[in-house]
Amino acid sequence: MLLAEFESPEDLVRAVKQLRLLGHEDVETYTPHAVEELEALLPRPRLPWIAGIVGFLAAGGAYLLQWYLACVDYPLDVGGRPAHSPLAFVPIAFELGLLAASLTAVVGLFVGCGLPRLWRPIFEADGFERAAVDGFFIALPETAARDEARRALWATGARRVVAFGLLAVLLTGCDFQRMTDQRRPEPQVPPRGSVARGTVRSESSPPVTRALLARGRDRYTIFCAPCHGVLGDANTAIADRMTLRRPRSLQDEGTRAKAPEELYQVVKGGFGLMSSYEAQLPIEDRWAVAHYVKALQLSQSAPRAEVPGADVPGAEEKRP
Amino acid sequence: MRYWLAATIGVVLLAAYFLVMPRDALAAYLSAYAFTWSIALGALTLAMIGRLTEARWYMENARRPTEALVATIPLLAILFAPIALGLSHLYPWVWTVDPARASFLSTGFFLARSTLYLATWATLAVLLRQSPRTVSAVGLPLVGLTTTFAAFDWIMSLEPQWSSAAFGLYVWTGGFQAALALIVLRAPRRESALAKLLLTASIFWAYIAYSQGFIIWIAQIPRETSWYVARTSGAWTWVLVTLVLARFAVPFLALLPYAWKRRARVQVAVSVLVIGGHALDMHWLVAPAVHGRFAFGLVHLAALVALSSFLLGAAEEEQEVVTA
Repeated sequence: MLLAEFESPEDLVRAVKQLRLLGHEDVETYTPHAVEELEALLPRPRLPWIAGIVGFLAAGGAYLLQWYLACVDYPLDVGGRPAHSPLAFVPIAFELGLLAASLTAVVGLFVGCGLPRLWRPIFEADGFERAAVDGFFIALPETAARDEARRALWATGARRVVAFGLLAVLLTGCDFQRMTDQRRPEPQVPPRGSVARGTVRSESSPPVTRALLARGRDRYTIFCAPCHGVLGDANTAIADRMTLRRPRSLQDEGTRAKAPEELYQVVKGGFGLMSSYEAQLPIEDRWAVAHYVKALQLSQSAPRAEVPGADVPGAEEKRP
Repeated sequence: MRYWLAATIGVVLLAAYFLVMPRDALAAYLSAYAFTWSIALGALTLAMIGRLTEARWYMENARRPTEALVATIPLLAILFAPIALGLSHLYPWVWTVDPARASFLSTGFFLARSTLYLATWATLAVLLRQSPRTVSAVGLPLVGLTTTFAAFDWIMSLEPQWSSAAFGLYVWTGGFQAALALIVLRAPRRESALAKLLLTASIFWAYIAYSQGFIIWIAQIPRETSWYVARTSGAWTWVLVTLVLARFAVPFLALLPYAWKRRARVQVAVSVLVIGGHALDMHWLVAPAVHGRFAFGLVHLAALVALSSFLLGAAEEEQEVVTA
């Protein structure tokens, strides 16, 4: 399988359109929220029709059942009304039809999504957990024309394209169910001193580049600015309403004194009422935000002499 | 212009008929008035819901046609005059006094109540422009109460011995559904949101209509069933079947599938059917109380043309003002 990640829903929609033009019909997408435009591109599900037909059949069946009971099997005289009283059969037919239609829809949803299954090979792809946060993914089955598909994904503006889970995909062909019939071995205790996979990762800062600061600005504006403000001065509508404990201004003395490493820890672990952004911001993004905050502090408190172009005539002194 | 021409022709025909058979002419006028009045009130309800929720489908698409219909309410209040003047021709409680109901169904109190309803709606319709959200929040319960009681007074009291608590709601939901259908036809864009709402309104109408009928059927009290006996005898049965088809069965099946409710042609066809159904519905409520046997003639058509033309003409002028 080929997995491509996109920055925004718009990019994803554009990519799906282009891939379909190229003849890729079996495109699968993974997004953190429903993308309305995407729904129009994907084939209409058959489930609503199935649920509708089941509902109508159940309503008809419920009507027949009542008719059989009231007219054939056990006729009762109720206040002299005719045994076959359609008006009286409506509520039960309606309710049972509705029940059958909604049950079909729910069960059909589970079956369609393969929901009781908790693991899929695609979960092993690196960074795929971002599909639940802010990543927009396209998965393409690996066909004969692998290079062509890869080129197509790059051409549509993907941020990155990975081939994933060759082994995992092969393993899905195996019949794991058979294992349940075997004798269960004792659980294995990992050897002393062993470390679980994926727990050791370098958390050191990447080199500070213009691109990193741009990424930091982007992430800061999305995740931090709502409370701390675009300028970092905590002058926001949200901060104004948090009267008991205001979000901190990032321009005050205490925060200015903090090193990027300390800011990194705040982003990762949270601070006071601020929760951890570990899930939303992967390691590189945390560093990007930390360095961007330092740059933001510098930009708001630099002495006049140090500002490039401050001696240009007409540049007026302006205090924050 | 063509609306005012049609309205004039309708009014002339109706006036001529009034000179010969005043009772029939007034009954035709009442059912046509119930048709236009309930549509305008349905539009007022939708406008208030739309203003309170500030939903995108309302603010960007349905708002203009809806509020143009709302703006016709002051004119409709004036058009109540023929009914107020012809009370004695229409309502049996004017000449046969029933001691149990005499205090409520007396000419003076009836006119006072009617004035109160009309004044409330006209005030709300005018004020809705100034401060939409406040007026909507205050107005929705007021509209609910006044519409219910207006339906009791103007239509249900044609047969004073009969009563049903759901009757006001029946007229209101019917008017709401027909107003939605008219707005679907007049909205700048054909959006699925309006079609979905029309589907909901159709189901709601069927629910209220069924509940009222079922409760009366199961209780089997002659005083209550007589109303339905009159409306299911002879050709009226077929009117009832048409009503169920036009107001519920066809809209329900046509607007249920995903693709169909998004098709402009389906939306237009269903809306026309629903509006026609509502006109027939009001006729089915009023005429059996006056004529007994099935009747639909030139006089009913003239009244319907006259009042619908007034409604559409005023709404059109209003919409031009709003758009300009």
